[in-house]
Parts: sequence; structure tokens; C-alpha cells
Amino acid sequence: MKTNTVRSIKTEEYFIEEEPYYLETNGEKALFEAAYRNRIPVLLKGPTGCGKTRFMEYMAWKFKRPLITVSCHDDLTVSDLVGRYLIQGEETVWVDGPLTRAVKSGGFCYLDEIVEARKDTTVVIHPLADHRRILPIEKRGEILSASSDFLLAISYNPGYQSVLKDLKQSTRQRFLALEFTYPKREFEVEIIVHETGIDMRSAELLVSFAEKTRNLIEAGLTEGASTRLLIHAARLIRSGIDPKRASEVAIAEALTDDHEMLRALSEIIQSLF
Amino acid sequence: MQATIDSYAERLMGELIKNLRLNFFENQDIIAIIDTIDMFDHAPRRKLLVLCFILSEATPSIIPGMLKRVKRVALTLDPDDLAKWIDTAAEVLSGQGTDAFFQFISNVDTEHLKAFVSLERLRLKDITDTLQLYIKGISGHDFSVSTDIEPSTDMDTIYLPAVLSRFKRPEDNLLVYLLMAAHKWAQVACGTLTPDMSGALAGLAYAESQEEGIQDLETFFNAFPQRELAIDLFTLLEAFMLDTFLWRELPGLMERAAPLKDEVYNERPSLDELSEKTAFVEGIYHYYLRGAAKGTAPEALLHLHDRITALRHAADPQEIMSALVACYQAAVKLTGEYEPQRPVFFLGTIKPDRVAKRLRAKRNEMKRKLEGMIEKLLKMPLPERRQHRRSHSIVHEHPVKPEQEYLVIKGQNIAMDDTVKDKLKGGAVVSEGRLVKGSNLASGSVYVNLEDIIRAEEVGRTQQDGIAYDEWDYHRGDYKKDWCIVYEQDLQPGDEPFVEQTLKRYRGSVAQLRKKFETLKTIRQKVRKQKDGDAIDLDAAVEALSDLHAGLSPEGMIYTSFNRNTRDIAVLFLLDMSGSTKGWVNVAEKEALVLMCEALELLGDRYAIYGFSGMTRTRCDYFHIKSFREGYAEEVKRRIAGITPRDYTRMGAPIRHSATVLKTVEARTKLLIALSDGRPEDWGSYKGDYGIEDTRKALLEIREQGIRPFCITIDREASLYLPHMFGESNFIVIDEVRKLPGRIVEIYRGLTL
Repeated sequence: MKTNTVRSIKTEEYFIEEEPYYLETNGEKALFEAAYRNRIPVLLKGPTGCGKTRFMEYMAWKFKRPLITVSCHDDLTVSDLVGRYLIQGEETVWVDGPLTRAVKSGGFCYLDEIVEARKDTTVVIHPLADHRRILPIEKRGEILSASSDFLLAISYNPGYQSVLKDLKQSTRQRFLALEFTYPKREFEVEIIVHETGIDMRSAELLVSFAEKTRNLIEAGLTEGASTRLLIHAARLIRSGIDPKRASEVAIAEALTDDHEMLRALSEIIQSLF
Repeated sequence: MQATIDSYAERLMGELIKNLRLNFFENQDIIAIIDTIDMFDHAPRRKLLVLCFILSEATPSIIPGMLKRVKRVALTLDPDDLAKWIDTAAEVLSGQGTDAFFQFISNVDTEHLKAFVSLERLRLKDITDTLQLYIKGISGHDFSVSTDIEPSTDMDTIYLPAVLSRFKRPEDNLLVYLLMAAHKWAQVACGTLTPDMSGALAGLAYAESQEEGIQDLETFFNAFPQRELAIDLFTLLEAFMLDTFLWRELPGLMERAAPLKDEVYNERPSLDELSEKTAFVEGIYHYYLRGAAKGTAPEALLHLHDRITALRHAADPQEIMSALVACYQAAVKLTGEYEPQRPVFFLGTIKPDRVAKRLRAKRNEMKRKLEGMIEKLLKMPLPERRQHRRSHSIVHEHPVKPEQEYLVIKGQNIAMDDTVKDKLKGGAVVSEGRLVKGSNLASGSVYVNLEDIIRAEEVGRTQQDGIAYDEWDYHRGDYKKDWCIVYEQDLQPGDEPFVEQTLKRYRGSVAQLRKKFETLKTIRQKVRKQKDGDAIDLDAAVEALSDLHAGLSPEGMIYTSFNRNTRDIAVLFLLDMSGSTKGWVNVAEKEALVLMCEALELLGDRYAIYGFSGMTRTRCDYFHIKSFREGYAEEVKRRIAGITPRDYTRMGAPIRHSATVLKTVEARTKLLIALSDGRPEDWGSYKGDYGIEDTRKALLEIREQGIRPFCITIDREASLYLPHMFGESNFIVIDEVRKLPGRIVEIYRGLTL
């Protein structure tokens, strides 16, 4: 948002220059640092929108390493991660994939929502995620040994209840797992105030509302309101939207389509603001 | 105006009482009649009084029966409509006589009453679902919602009026419902209904002697000679504290409710019209509603003003109790009778008897559980002492320890674990048995362990045809070898056309469900990089070409294809058939199964259904309802109809056996879905942590075998132990049984999407 000119940067040169705002809630900074110093890859687990990606940005900034994020999807192939040959004119050129770039440049490679990736893709990270720290590039007949600065991080949301999307033991047991949950009330308020500049009282009410949606998780909601949704709502409020309306569009409607549930959420909003 | 009408009503009341006395009504019956009449709002109360008076002149004996019916009608009609209904009843009486009258008032079904319903009202049952979610959301607790004339709570259920028509617009009436519900939640959250009562009566000279008998709010109020006055005072004083709580928790609601308070304030009588005693209480209403009294407040109230309003900052319900004693003492000294005014409609009046009853019920439930256990223990044939040679007996005798306590039954001294003992000490009555300290038993006495006795009974059974499974003993941290015997057997088919009935009942949802699953089935998933297929995968082709150029041999997987049948799933439904599923749970489980079968037939996933129940480790019954090989045949349908609740829930062994069954099918994804209504529990020591740990271990074992377990439960306390037992996100709690059939299919869909 700072400049209007579009800037193109190479994947491995994406450094976070300004300190991202991140409020520590459970000593995760020190744990991450220790893991990094000991070359242990990191698994971030937790519900959506509770700060996993922001945390990665913060740590990348802190250690001044490029952050290479790959959002995994069910069509993600090994080539998409490692690299492929492309034709240019009469010849073929090898182009590194994001994972290879991170391994070479000593960056932080963050595979977001790893369970979404194809099962055969997930296994390529195995040799990188144990003591070997190598990335075999089959097509070129090469093995890349990771730079000492390289770090592999993956994220996953244990709340998804599909049997077909579970993280395999052989994958998960290579990582140090940091659990993220919704921050404690006072932390969450602080985060919202800091991120949006909204007044304290409104932030408290938003957090109150979020807690109440989290009460409904077993009664029909799949997940409660995330901190990210609260920030969206807070931004709308800052822009002059009525708090009730803002909570409805940014939080309630984002959580569910169920008519009955929306009505109840709407009543809760009316009771709070 | 108000005063003259009231004096007319009071005169009528006097006449009515006189007539009842003349007709030999007992005093207590008269009081009951008056109390019932007084329950109603102003308009219907007056009409009812007139009606009772007319009846008392001719046929007084039907008054109690009539009032009973009016009470039922009041659950459907709101006060104004009720008044209309009573008018009509009176017309029938004068025009058509007693028989027709009785017939009219006996017809209390909704259809009939519809004629008396005026428009612009909000019915509780139309918004119950929303309201329940609202309450669950704000409180995080599962309250049930039920109807009563006035709002109140017994801490588990929130009672609300069946209809509200105070306001023209339905949304305003909804607001009143929300406000009522929020107030009831506040009572529970602030603990004002369960205050610490020790010393609460300090300063109430004549009541202090009764302190001993006070256990709950009901007995507490019994200590006040003018009970009603005390209850009204309490309801009001409590409201000050609750208001602050609600302003903090739900500021939006309270802001919207503020105009309501003003309106109510305007309706309240002026203090100048009331007796001094009544004015004292009414004055507090005024303080609560607007902070100032209408009319001249009694001197005594002025003195207490600061103390009362300070309750807004009360941190502990005990402050309410001491303020109550102060107010009560001041009020009883005032002149005049206490004539209760209408309570503020959204506050209602607290119901100490209801709260006490609920608390007692909870205590009794605990007691009953224990008694049931002891009763079974008594029925167990105790091995004759010294009948077998000691070395062969399972029941080992040990010399008693003086410091331990034993249950003495039938001449045996039995040692128990702490959970049983705690229940015994919790006041459970054990007929024929008593708790005795070891030091009080004759020297040379011996004791036996409860577990041994139970086991002794068990070994009597043959182990033919059963399959033995190990059981995990977490005390020892080891397996008990071949501990449980599982008997697989066919379930006796039922006679009822249960499946057909269910399909009829859920006709709408079955159609909807079919549609949903149809889309799931024909989901056309595009797969890239295939050896052959419908279209060329451009990315893969370019890559292959590049590989060629680079001198590598391409993989040749350059096609995309649509895969229609990626589902390779085998699922086994394991049904809890324990005795506790009796009633609605059993029906819901069966209905859920029927709907599930419909869906699965359509989807083509392989599935099997088994039920389990049992009594002790030597009899774990595993009922065959549908195997993987069987189709959804008539026989299967009849077996579903035949599912009935049986004994206990020993979960470990059936889970292990399910793994054996699942081993017989080939599938990429194997699922075990358990439907249960509570924690694992069996005869003997298989309860509490032991049962949970064994079940957990069994689940870990089957997970190692590549089976993914999932639990659907309706136990509200499940979140206490299920995360540990099944693992986070491997279970779902259905908060209401009736929702199970509707939800299960969705759950399955989500699980395998």
C-alpha cells in the first residue's frame, strides 16, 4: 500500500524490510529461534487466521532471510516446487522452483496448508526435513545440499476433519510443532488496536463477539471468528462503517451461510454493539 | 382509577373466599385457588376472578379443574388473548350451561385456541432455534428453553413465556425474549441463585436459630416469615448486580433495552397510592428502573437508598443477601399489608423451589447411580466363604487394615476404590450395607476386593465361540492378556417397518440428501500428468518437450483425465447399544443409520454396520447388522429395526474387533465411525479413567493399522474426555439427539470430501 508503482522482485530476494507487527503469546519466538539455530524444521499448526503467516514474516524479518511462501493446492506437483525445463528459442533452460531457490539462497521456505498438496509432492520435502538437509533434483541428476541459513516451515490446520486430508506421520514427525490458537483476550485486543488503530472499547467488543462465535463451534459453526476477521471488521469500523454492519459482513457472513445461525449471530451482534 | 378497579377485584376475592368456605373447601385448597388466580396478568386475573366467583355460587367443585385448564391455555395464549378466551368461556357458561362450559375449557389444543390469537405477536417456538444458539453463543453453555408464564431459570433450563405480544413489532418482542434470556444467564453466571448461605441470616434475630436447616435458596427463604416479600426483595436487589454484569457483557442489548425500562417505569404506580410496606418494595423498583422514586418514598427506604444502589458494584452474591436482610427488616416494621405489584416483565420472579429441585435432582442422580451399583453388587452371588480351597479362589482374603473403611454387606467386608467411597459418603443409602472403619471390625477379620468379587462371577462363563482380545490396564501400564471375549452374533430382526417409516418421515431431507450426494459422487476431478486421458496437459507437455530438448527421456505422462471414482472408502459404523441409549437416543441412532444407508448406497462406498453392548469382560456382544459383503437387503433393514438398548459400554474390545472386521476389506481409506451416547462404562472397574484409557489405547492400535476412527456423540460432557480418547478433531458432539439423523450424513460427507 506504500507505493503505487508495481515492483517485481525475484522470489529469493523477497526480504521483509520493515518489522512486521507480531505479538508473542506463548514464547513461540524463542522456540522458533532455538529450532532455527539447531536446523530443525518447523510445523505451525492452528486454525485459520490466528497469525501463522504473520509469525513467519516476523521471523524472516528478524533473521533477515528471504521468505518464500508456497500456498499448497491439490494440483501442486514436484516440478512446481523443485523446478523444470522450459524452452527458450532453440534451447531448454532449467528454471528453479521456489523450494530450490530457498535451498540455494538460504531462505525461509514456508509451505502453507501442506495437507492440501498431492501426497506424492509432500514426500520431496522429507530429505530436506531431516538431518540430511538435501534436495534431490531428479531431472538434473543433482543433489542440492541446503545452505546453512535455509529453513523449512510448513503449516496445517488440524481442525479440518477430512480423512483424506491428514498429515502423514512420516511427514509430521520430522518437524518441531508450534501450536497457534486464538490469542488470549487482552492480547487479541492489543493486536486489533495496533493493527487498525481502532479504539480500545470497540476492539474489546469485537473480541467478545469472537469468543461468542467460538462458543458455537460445536453447535453448528466449523470454526470461530479468527483474529484476521476481527481485523477486517475493525478496519471497516475505522472507515466509518457502523460496527454492527461491519461485524455482520466481515465476521458473521464470512463464517456461515446457515440462515438460523446467521440470525443468532446477528442477535449476538445487536446485543454487543 | 386503578384503585377503584382493584378494590372491586378485592371485594370479589373476599366474596369468592367466603363462598368457598361455605362449600367446605379446605383452607389449603382455597389458598391454592387464590395463588393460581394471582399468577395471571391484570386483565385475565380480573376476568378469572369473576368467573370463579360465578362458579362458586353454583358449582364450586369444578373450580380447581377449571383453573388447571386455564393454566394450560395460558401457555399458548398471551394475557390479552387469555382474557378474551375467559370472556368466551363465561358466555358459554351463562348461555349453554355447565356441560358445554366444561367442554369448551377442556379443548386446549392449539388449533382450537388459534381463534383467540390476535396478530403481531411472537411465539417462543418460532424462535427457539435462534434463541438457543444465541444463549449458547453468549454463555458457552447448553441451556434448554422451556415455557412458563414468567421468565425464570433452574440453572439448566431457561423458562420463557410462550408468546409475547407486548409490542407491535415482532423484532421488539424478540428483543424482550433476548433480554429475558440474558437476565437468566446472568443469574447463573453471577451465581446469585447459588450464593454461599453460611451466615447469610446474621442480623435476622428470629431466623438465626434456623440457620442449621438451610441448604439452598428454598430453605433460605423459608426462614423469612413473609416469604413472598423476601423473594420479591431478592429479585429486585439481585437485578442491580445483574444489570452491571449485562452492561459489561452485552452493552448493545442493554442500550436497546433502555427505552423499555422507561416505559415500564411509566407504568408503575406512584408510591403515594400504596401501603407503606408495598411502597417500600415499589420504591426499589423505581430506583432500579430510573434511579428515583415516583411519589414519596418511606423514610426507611431513603435510609437504605445508598446501600441498595451500591449493589450495582457488588462483586459477590453475598452482598445481596446481607442487603436483603437489612431491607427485609426495615420493610416488616412498616405499616400496611404487602400487596405484591406486578413484577417487571423481563426480570420475572426467582423460583427458589425450582432451583432447589434441580440441585436436589442432581444430587439424587448421583445417589441413584451408586445405589444401582450397590444393588447389582448385592445380587451377585457372593462366593461361599471357604468353599474353594484358598489357593484356587480368585477372591483373595486379606487381613483388614485399621485405618481403612470397608463396606460391610452380607457378612463380607469389601474394599472399594475412592470413587465408590466418595459416592457412599455423598449420602448414598445402601440398604443392608454400611461403611465401617477397619479398627471397628472384630480382630482377625478379613476383607476382599470389590473387583475380585466381580471377577469371580465372570469366570463362570464359558469362552466358547468368542474371540479373546487384550485390554489395556493403565494402572499397570500393560495389557491384560486375552482379557475380553467378544461374541459376534446376528441381531434379532425387528418386526416394525422402521426403515420405511423413517424414509417417510424424512421424505424431504432424503430427496435433498440424494441430490447432495449425487454431486459428490459425480465430482469430476481433473487429474494432471496421466499416462492417458481425454486432453493434453499443456504444462506436462511443455515440460516433456523441454526434457526432450535437454536430452532427457520424458516421462510421457502428458494427459489430463477426469477421474470419477477416486473414492475408495470402506466404513464401519459401530453403534452403541448400551442401556443408556434407551428412548430417543436409540430411535435417533436408528434413524441416522437409515439415512446413512440411503446416502451410502448412492455413493457406492462400502460399508458395514455393527452394534455393541455387553456385561463384563467375558461377555462383549458384537451384533452383526450389515457386513461389508451384504447388500442393503430386506434382512438388513429388519435388523436395523431390531436395534434395541441392552447393557453396558465396554468400548475397547468392540473397537479392536472392528479392526479385525475391517481387515477383511481392501480399501485405500478405512474409517471407523462410532456412534455413542457417553463415556465407556461397564460393570466393575471399567469406568472413569480406566475405560477411557483402554478405549484410547484401542483407538491408537487401530490407527496404526491404517484405520481412521471418528466418533459422533450426543454426550454434552464429551468435550471433557473425547479429545483425549479420540484425539482432537476426531469427534463431533451433537448437542441435541433429534439433530443426529440430520447431521450424520453431513458429517460423513465432510469427512470424506
